[in-house]
Amino acid sequence: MRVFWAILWKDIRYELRRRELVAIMTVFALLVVVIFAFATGIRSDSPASMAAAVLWVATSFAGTLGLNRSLALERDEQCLKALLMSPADRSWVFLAKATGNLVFLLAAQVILTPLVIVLFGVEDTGQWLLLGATLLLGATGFVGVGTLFATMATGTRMRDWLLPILLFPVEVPVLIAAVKATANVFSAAPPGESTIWIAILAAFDLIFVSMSILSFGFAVEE
Amino acid sequence: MGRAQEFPRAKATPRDAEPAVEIRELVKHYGATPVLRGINLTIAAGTSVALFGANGAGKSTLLNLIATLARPTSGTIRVCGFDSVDDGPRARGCAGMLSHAPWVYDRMSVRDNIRFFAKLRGIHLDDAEILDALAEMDLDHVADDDAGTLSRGMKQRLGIVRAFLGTPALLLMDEPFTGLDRKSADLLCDQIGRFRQAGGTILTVTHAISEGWRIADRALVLHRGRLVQDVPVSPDGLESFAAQYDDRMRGEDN
Repeated sequence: MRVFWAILWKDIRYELRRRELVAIMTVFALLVVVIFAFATGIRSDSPASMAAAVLWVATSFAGTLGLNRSLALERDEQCLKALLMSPADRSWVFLAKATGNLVFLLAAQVILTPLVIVLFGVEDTGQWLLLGATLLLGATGFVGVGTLFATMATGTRMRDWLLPILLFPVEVPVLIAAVKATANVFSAAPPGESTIWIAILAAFDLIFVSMSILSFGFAVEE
Repeated sequence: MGRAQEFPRAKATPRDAEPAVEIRELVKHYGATPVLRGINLTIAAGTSVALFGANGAGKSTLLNLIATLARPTSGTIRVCGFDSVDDGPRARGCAGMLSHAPWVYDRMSVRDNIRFFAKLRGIHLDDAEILDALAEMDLDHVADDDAGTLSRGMKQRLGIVRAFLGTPALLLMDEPFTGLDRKSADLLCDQIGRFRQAGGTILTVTHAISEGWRIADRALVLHRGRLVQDVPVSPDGLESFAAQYDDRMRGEDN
């Protein structure tokens, strides 16, 4: 746990001091949302579905950018090796980096989601708890695998394009579940309909995060 | 400097009788390419070993395997008695590593870098202890500067402070003199001297024969993935060793 807290706190402190990662992710995601909004007509016939899709497309793009940037911090001075030399199980290093990435992605979503709601004319359905759970679980699934792939890609020369190519096909189940759950929340569907997708999302998270924890040690060793 | 529990430290280890490094039939392939071909090596605790070899001989791979940054294809490595694969965290707990890159964060202050890397090793350092550690490398006056603003030599010295944190039982050094100016090289040699007095074990990979000879009491040569020479270091032995080594390298070139 010591290694987990040390790395997580280092990443958060670094970001609080520099304010780079969340700012870049948020601006990029906002641009994606605005482009989609104008390209599709701001108030479409099915605003809930469109808003949910745009929210998660923007989250995926911004998240990929953030993952690349977060690992670049370790890559630039070869500090990843120093982290891997920590006298602890390497799953703690993975969990710390993934948790840091999750915090930054959620911070971007906190700014992004209200904009999507306003731009796409989504009505207030009062299902804020379900929306919060969807955002949290969707982001967890994304960074769970994303942190593993970003760590693997960071040691290669093709890292900038390798990460999205590896990551997006694997993330499809998480993104579908997240879009469906979000669309149900936005359209005021009965909570049971959202809960099913949220449960599926939680199951994917469990599988993805567990697999990533188990594979991280092998993935980072030469 | 600080307190570190759990892991063997120089001289303070409950497994003093164990060799610092014990390698048996170590083989490492990258894909189909063999890099190390059946290495057997024992490094007694408290000794300093220099490992020489041409580019591509497998020196850095061997160091990475001992540091648990790479996984053997076959064979075993024990670090302070701990298996590098099955007991990785404890094997890593014994070892510090100094690379030709300093492994520090450019956009963190010098002080925060040391505090962070100490925490990773389970050591709590207060401000005075951090300044003491930095003073040994003549960096205490830049404690609050970002590491990225330091000169290359100063950054390397910061990397040296990081590597020696907690006085690990085994120090692995990969081309430690690369990029060091005269002052930094002298400070590194002083630090190595203190470390050895404390009973620390050192394995140095280097091209610089005279520098390696200066800090070692045993010299090894790795050639095409095999250990081909293992000699004790003596003050008057450098010349003949260097001549033999050069002959071997020239043979390699031809």
